[in-house]
Amino acid sequence: MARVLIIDDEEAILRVVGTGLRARGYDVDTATGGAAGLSRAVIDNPDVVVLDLGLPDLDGVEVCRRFRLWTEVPIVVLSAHGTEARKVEALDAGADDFVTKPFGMAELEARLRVALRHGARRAVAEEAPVLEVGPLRLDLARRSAELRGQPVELTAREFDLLAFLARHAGKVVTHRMVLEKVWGPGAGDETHYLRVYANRLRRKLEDDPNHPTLLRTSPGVGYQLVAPEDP
Amino acid sequence: MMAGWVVTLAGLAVATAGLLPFRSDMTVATAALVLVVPVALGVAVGGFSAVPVGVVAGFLTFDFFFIPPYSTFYVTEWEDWISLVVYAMVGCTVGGVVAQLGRAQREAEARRAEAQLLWAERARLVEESNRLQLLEEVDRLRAALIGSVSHDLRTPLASIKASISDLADPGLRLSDEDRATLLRTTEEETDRLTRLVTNLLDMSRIQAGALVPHTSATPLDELIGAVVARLSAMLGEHRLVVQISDGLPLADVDYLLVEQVLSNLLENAARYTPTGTAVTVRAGAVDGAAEVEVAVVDHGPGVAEAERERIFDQFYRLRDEGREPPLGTGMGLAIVKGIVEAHGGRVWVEATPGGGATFAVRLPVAPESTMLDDGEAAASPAGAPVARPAAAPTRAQA
Repeated sequence: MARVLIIDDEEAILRVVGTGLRARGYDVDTATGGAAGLSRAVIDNPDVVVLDLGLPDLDGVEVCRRFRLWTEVPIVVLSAHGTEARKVEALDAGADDFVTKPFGMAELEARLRVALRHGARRAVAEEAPVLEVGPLRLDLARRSAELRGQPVELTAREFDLLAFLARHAGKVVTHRMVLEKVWGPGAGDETHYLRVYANRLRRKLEDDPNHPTLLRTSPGVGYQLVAPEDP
Repeated sequence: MMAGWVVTLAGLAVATAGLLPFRSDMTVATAALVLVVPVALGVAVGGFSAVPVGVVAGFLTFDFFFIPPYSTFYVTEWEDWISLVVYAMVGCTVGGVVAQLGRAQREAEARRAEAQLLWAERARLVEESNRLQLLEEVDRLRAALIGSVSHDLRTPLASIKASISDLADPGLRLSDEDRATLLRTTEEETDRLTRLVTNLLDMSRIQAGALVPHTSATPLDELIGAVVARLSAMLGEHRLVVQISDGLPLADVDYLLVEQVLSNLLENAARYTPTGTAVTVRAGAVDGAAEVEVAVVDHGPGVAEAERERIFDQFYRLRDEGREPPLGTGMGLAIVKGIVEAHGGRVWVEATPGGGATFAVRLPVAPESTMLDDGEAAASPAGAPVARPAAAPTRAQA
């Protein structure tokens, strides 16, 4: 079963989340600070990390950055309500997803499953000529897309956007990240482009564009492409 | 400009009138020298523009009144021509110098005025910037406060919600041990949240000046016993010592409020001192039994002399080796101070001999309690007229 490392300075959270995840069959390690968490990760080699952003010793965003220096392990960040800017910072620094406190354990576990599934494939995805996310199949060499075996007509920009999202499937990508990678440096603030294109993709890919299951919105933060069977 | 002309012409008239009676007895040069004076005066008042007017008027006056033949503009002697020319030149030169001096003086004055204006402006800007800095500081404090309070409120909520969501999940098989852990954590975190909310409410009552103690004669030894029992879990890792002096008088206090004072002081001791060290609660009469002193003595890092006043300020927290956010909410001691002062008492912190901090609280003694020293009162059942804590189940309504 998957190994989870929880980094939080609150003993109560470590106890509760640890108990809940163990009861769901995970192996759980805990650390009460950023530095301790980073060194535990080296020893325990976790499959996914749950990281609180408000740590006493090291800023959580800095912890994300340090993780990304040597590992692609998925990181799910725990953050307080109303701290969108901090979430975005953490995601830009390499976190995969976030859960807002207070959260139910089912929600946390759902995020962990998405992170685990996509995290395992992401290392391969960087190089792969063909990307698959649920019913979606992208051939990067031929620049063609299929949905449940049916070809989908995409403009060059739509394809680039979709390919970027597919390469980071399961991860919440921030507006800035997408704009700079797909539109180019300097486009980082033009979030309205992104809204327009996300809507176009949804009209072409989703069964019900108003209730997207494939391309999800994280309000105020960014987008996340997930396989619809993901919770 | 007009003023210069007027002064010149008036000066010439006066000088001429003054000199006329003696013109036959004096030299032409004397008259010329005297007539230069009005020119210089006119220039001093009117500036450069008064020079030509002054010189021409002076020249004509000199010629008309003082160069023979008098009362004509004729000049017959060549020396008189020289006198006139020299007069004109001297007049121009003196006028020029005076005008220059006047201008330099006016410029200096203008510069001084400008400098004064700049100083005033600078002072205004400094004041403005100080005010802005103060506002920024207040804003920063307020933001830090909101951040810290919301963090402190949210943290126990996160544990409670996570824990309850598991307990309520029908699909999740929890062992008895897990279930107990989750329930215990929920209870502890609920207590923590309760303490925080109580503190916040007390704080706002103190701030609004709405804290009115409902005092009654209170046996502090019982109160101390109750608080110590309630906080035993929190203080489990410290050695707790209670020292009550014999003949401790009853205090005239609001039981519930003073209970909170003692709780806050003990929580602080538990929070800021190393585990395993002793925490002593001491109570005794002082000042000829006019006051009771309750002290919480710890052997932790102590409080630096410079911090001993500020530590009771609202939201002031001691820095703890860069721990961010700092421990606690910064409300505990401010509440202690608010409550104690509402009782007419006082609270302070001093160094514990041998290291550590001693928080001392002075509270008034109940008037009835002095009667316990009388044989008559002592003979009655102990504490009979005294409101017992159990008889005050509701929080004092303020």
